[in-house]
Amino acid sequence: MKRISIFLLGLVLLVFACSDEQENSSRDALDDASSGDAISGDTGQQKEDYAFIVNAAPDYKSATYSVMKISDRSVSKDKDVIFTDAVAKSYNDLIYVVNRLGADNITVLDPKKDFALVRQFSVGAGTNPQDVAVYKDKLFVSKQLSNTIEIYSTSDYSKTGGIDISKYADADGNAEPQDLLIYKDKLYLTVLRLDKNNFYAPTDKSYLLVIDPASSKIEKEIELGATNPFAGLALDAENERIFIAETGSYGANDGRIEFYSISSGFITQQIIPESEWGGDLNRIAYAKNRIFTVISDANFNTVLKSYDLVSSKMQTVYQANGFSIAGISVFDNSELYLCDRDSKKPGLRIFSVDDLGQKTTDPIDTGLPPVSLIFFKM
Amino acid sequence: MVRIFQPFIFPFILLIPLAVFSSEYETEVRTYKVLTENPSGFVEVLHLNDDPSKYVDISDILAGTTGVQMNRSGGVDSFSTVMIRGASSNSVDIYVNGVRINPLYMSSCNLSLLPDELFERIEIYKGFTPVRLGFSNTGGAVNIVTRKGRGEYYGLKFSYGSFNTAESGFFMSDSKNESGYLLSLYIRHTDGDYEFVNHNGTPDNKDDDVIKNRQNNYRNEYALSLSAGSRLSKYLRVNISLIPYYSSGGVAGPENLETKDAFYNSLTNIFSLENHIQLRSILNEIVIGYSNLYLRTEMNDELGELNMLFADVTDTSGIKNTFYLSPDFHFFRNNIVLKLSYSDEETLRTSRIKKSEKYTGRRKEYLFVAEDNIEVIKDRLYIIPSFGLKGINDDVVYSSGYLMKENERVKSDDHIRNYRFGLMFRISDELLFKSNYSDFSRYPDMYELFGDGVYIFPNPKLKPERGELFDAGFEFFHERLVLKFAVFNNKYDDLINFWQNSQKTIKSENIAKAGIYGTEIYIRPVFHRHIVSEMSYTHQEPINKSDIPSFRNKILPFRYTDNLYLKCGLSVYGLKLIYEYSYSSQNYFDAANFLPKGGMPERSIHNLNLSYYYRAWDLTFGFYIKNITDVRPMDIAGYPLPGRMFFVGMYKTFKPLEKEEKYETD
Repeated sequence: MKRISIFLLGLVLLVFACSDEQENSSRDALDDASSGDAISGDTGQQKEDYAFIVNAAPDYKSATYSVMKISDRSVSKDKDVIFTDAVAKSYNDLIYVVNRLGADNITVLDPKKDFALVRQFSVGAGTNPQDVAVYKDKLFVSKQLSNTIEIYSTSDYSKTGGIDISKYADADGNAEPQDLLIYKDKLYLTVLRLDKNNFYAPTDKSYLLVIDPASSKIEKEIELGATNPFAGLALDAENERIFIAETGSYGANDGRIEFYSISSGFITQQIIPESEWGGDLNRIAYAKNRIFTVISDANFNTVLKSYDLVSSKMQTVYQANGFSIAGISVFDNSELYLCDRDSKKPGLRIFSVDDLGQKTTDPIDTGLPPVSLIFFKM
Repeated sequence: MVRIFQPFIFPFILLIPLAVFSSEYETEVRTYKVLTENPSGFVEVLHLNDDPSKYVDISDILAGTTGVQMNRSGGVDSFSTVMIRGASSNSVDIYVNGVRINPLYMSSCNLSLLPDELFERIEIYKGFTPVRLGFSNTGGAVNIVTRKGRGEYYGLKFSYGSFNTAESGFFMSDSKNESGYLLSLYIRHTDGDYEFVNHNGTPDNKDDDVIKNRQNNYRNEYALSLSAGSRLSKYLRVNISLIPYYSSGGVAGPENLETKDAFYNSLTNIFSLENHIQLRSILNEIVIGYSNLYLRTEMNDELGELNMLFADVTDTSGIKNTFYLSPDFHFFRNNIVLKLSYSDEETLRTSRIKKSEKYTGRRKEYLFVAEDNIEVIKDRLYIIPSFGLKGINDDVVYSSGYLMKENERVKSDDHIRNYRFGLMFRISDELLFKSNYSDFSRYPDMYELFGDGVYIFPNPKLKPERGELFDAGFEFFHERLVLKFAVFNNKYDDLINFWQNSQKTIKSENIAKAGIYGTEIYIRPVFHRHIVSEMSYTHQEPINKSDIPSFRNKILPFRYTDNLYLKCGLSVYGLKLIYEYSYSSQNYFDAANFLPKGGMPERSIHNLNLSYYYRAWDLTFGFYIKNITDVRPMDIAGYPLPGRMFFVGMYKTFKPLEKEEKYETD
């Protein structure tokens, strides 16, 4: 009995020793990220925060992705090639890269295995996928040149169904669905309705659809106050609202930011028109009662602006040279990351959400200039 | 250096002494003579024989020429552009019989539209171009000279090959009493339906790859060439040339987004009239000329297949009239050639679907170029200074309501200048040394300056691109050996690139720089009268010198660093067997050198040509296998090139050439 106990104790000690070794390995691997080497996920430690950065060459002829560790801002640059027009989302510890018109595929990567390819599948040549969202075992894909929101299984990525939105198509026959947002068992979808035969100018109206992802049924359609919600959606989970950035026609200052109340299911009275922003809405983000937008003014110069919802104060946070600010994203409700595509000094800039001060003296080099980024844990 | 170099080159070079000491040889080498124009320039002249099976299209013709690279988008007669010494294709001037044919709207010229069956020779000018052609461009020039009459002569030509490629040609010429003419007719068709792998837009997933035949990749060509010349008097000779040609065909699209209906038609007409007044005094000759270039294209993508976002049918028409005067003077040891010209070119672009989209552009150019060939030491040392000045007047009217206001007009006036200092030293009767230093400018084309009124923003303040070129080398011409060697070092500044300046538009900017240096070697030994042999090798370092971090010090896209061409064969009793090998090193599709992943692999292409000339009937049969090992490369991302191809052909003359009754047309 005593011998068995000692043996079992030894076995336990051996197990713990191996675990330490694994943790050390994973720590080494994460440390290795700073040198641009393989990045692998931990097996037991608290997860670290990372940014998956979509880059594109200044001429948009080539694109890559980079990975940045938030804690020390170390970047593994240009880890691999993606398509020249791409966006990324993170769900269930996987990265979904939406490669748009020309590639028309979804590429699924596993960050825990140094972003090894899980699956790459076509969603239909020439259909121009825009966005993805995952709800349980369903992957929803919106495609600009399709009136069906396609549904794929997240286990084998086979097509399992679709949501027909053809009733929202305009005269050119396309509805132009774009952004997908999953929040509390609801799927939110923007429908742009642009005129393909008139340089994709907005038509008479655009929509926000509320969909039950479990049944794939459209529960509600909300006609927006302005058109062309191209600049996207931003979620305020604390106050249960979604901000919708509606660009309208370019150069016309006819767009606005509208507030959709999740609890009531309606657009509120409050709006912030483009005339107040001072240009076309390009991107939107939200943190701590501040709405952040990227505006392009009449001379196509891009500027990052902040609107304080409490004080109703509009501020310029960062003025760029030319049309060089691309995507913005909020990290941990405390920092705003900005993709600066300046031709001579591109990179990521970080701003404090609280005082709007820039935390970076020089942009963080991401390899090719950054276009957009998402955050994930690993 | 080229890894493949050693196995082929060293034995090749070791055999050169055989050529020198061989007792039998065939005098194919042309006797060198001092050219009266551009003697210090590095020029390649390709004389095209009438082997019906040898050439498939212009890329075959130019293969093996040092410093020259073709980029194609597909099979026979696909969109093809040329680069010389790494300079971009929009900086290479293309001439047909001295008439510049680069479109005004977008200066990059699609060489596949040219009826190569009508060519007699192709002159490639690397660097400064001769005065008679006009203003030098930063990328050099290609002058295509069509066939001219050579006595009473009728010819028929047929060939057929892979992908249902068929062509036929008819030639007729006659000359009498210092007058003559040549009439050529030519027609060609290809289905272009070669096999390729469709990756389905998922390069990392091989499971969904499909082998298909290229669709909607057909092309039809019809061409006519009429040239005539006559000596009207002791002092006056007149030449006239008319070349209308029509090309129509599908536009296949990239491999994963093939089209079914999109097509492209093009009608071009080149007319030239030259009067040569020969005085043979200090004023040796005056050339007074007129040329007219008409171009009309239809790009039909009515179903929005090529550009899924927009369906459109775009019609472009352009007409250019040029008047010029070119005297040349001989006095003391100077040969001065001048050229003054005025040209007026107008382009109209309309969209049939977006009826509001319309664009009218007009450019007037005033040109003065001068070159003096100074014989410093008689028959030995020549110094050749050249200078060019061009005034440009542009006037564009937009009728689009999208980006520009309706009937908005933009004008600009500008001028550019070029100069060159050349040197040619004849070390011996067979050995020449040449060197040039040039400072060039390329004026932006209409597309770069004024956009399209829809998605391309105008930038009338765009500066000309600048080039600073230096080259040096020697040429050795012996009856048993031709050897050419050159080094070049070219620097480019203010290169024009398009940049996104708003969510929906791009704009041209002078933002790029490049440095390209390289070496060219050409060897043609004559081992034996029955042995054919030739080698050309180009090494270049085309480096991006821009201040853009992603591009700096990267290899310029689409450029090879090494290119090797070998030809060898036997020619016995009318039977000719020729083997060709070409090697191109790895290159990239993009300026950041990420595409394709790992770079476009190096490629080796093997060709074999067998022909037989039956003298009694004056008839040639030919058989040609191109790309024997079925390599499937790409020159442009998403556009696979065909693999192995077979062709058979026949050429028959009804009245063989008895004596050369040449009339002077050049």
